[in-house]
Amino acid sequence: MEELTTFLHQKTTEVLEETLENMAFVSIEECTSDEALNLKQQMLGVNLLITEPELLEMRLNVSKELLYQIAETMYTMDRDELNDQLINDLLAEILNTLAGRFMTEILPPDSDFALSIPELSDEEESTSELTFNYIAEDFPLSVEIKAAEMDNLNSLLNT
Amino acid sequence: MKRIVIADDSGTARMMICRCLEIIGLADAEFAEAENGKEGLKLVKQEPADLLISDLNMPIMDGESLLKWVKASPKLVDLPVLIITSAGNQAKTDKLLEMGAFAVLNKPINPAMLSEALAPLINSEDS
Repeated sequence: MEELTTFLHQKTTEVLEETLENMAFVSIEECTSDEALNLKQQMLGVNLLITEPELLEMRLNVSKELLYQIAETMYTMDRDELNDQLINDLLAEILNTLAGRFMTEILPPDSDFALSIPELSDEEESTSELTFNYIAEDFPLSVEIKAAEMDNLNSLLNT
Repeated sequence: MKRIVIADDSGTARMMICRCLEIIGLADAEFAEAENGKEGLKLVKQEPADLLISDLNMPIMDGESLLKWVKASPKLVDLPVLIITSAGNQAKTDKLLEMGAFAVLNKPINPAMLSEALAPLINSEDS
């Protein structure tokens, strides 16, 4: 399990770095859950299901303030021009891109996979053993991965 | 290129595609945006387009169905369709190209990727 966790953590970090740098010129650093909690930020969360080849759930939690800063840069808009719908859409698209890159990285080449449409969620407490915490521009974000059958997932991996 | 239709359920993704197109020199084109494949199909039927860019994973009508409809229509069969997806792999890419997609790109996209993919279209317009 520890080897699997290390592998998934490493791949999550790689694809999160790539996704945020490409979309928003934002860099990330790994941190502990305590360090993330100490930043006391209001978080927004979104979930997405990976329905094939195994059922997985991926959740992305991002500081609302960080999302506003990213949106200001990406949309070249002032804070008062941004609205919740735009922020939620940005969060969903980050997770959609992240999940696709993640699956491409962890599965052997040419493996097929399917993603659901991202859904916003208010769930605040992390219930996943696989929760990876990061700091971006002094704001927290985390990625959670849940698998229905962890053993099945293990056998599919590109290790 | 005068008119480009962009179908993606994410406004953020549509905005990013528009920005990339502007950066690679297509700022003068008219960008028509659709939130799903059905709306995208309506837009390309309503008025001639020079390029259709579509996400794959969308509600109501996905990108693969949109591509099928476009390639099955005598009026639209020559319209280049560029697919942009977060769930791509070589087998899926090959299938989409076989169905008539002009090119398939994986998210996250950037101007260099779009420029390279669209070069044959842009160069053929220039010559």
